Amino acid sequence: MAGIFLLAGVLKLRSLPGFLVAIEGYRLIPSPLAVWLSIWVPWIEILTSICLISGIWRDVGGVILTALLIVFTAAVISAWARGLDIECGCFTAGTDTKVGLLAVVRNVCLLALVVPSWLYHGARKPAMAETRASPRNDVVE
Amino acid sequence: MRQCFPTVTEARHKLYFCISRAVAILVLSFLLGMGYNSASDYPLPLWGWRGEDPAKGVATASNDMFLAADDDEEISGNGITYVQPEQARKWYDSEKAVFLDAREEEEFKKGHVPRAQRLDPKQFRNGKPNLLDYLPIDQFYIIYCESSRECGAAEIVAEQMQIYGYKEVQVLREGWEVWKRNGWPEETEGSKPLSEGEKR
Repeated sequence: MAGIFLLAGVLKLRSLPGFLVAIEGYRLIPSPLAVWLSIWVPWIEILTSICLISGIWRDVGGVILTALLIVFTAAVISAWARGLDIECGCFTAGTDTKVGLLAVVRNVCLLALVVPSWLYHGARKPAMAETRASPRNDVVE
Repeated sequence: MRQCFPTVTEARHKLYFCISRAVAILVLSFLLGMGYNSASDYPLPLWGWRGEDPAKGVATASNDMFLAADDDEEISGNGITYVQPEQARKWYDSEKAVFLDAREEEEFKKGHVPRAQRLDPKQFRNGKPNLLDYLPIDQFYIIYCESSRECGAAEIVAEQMQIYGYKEVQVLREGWEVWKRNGWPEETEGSKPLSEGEKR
């Protein structure tokens, strides 16, 4: 799953002007800000994917990726509601899906995969710490 | 986020720790992005992109000012130069400008400026469009879409062409809408493609 975002970031880097076109197509932010985002977002995806894959700062990487996905999904829903006939811009490789229900469903599925990856990872450590530090007397009814 | 809040007493400390890591990732990705863009063959310009909405540009605060402007006057936005319809018609008659249509193919086929080539923003998604290999870089281009007030595609194409080194690129005020309204020449079939001899 993290590989998907790594691939998405790399594909965006291959054509930054194309990603800029995709961002501007949403007509949500002014052009100067769109330029900065088109330069910045692919590297966020790449670094957070590396965090998830390597396990280094996995929880933080997962949170950032989750926030990114939420923003992307909101943008897609907004463009869909306004009737814009544009591509999602998620992968920018010429095979991208159009803004619509399919893109929303895809992003929601990715969210469903990303969130447990750092939630589960975060939950395990406190439980393991408690077990080592203070053995519990389980009461079985 | 449970790793960031293992117990109530350590919540604040863990939160600051997580925030600092997140900031580090964001700052590092920003620096990498800036460096990558700088090293790119076609870096995106960080400053001086189109700013004002063409309908309320710097030099035309109202429609009255727009109508009163001289026919030969060209109104410039940030990085994008707009040409007034009357001046564009003069360029068309002199055959010294190449018109580029930034609309969808279906709209293009319904009618376009004679001899215009179609070049829409989507063709830039995978890098430099093939069509640009056939367009001389020192040629003067006028780009239009349906209407400069609602379209935006012409501005995007103009920006992208500037990235690839085209300097003489202007956007037609009010786009195809004004061209058709004035009853100016129109072509409904696809434009004849440039011959091999015209290849750059």
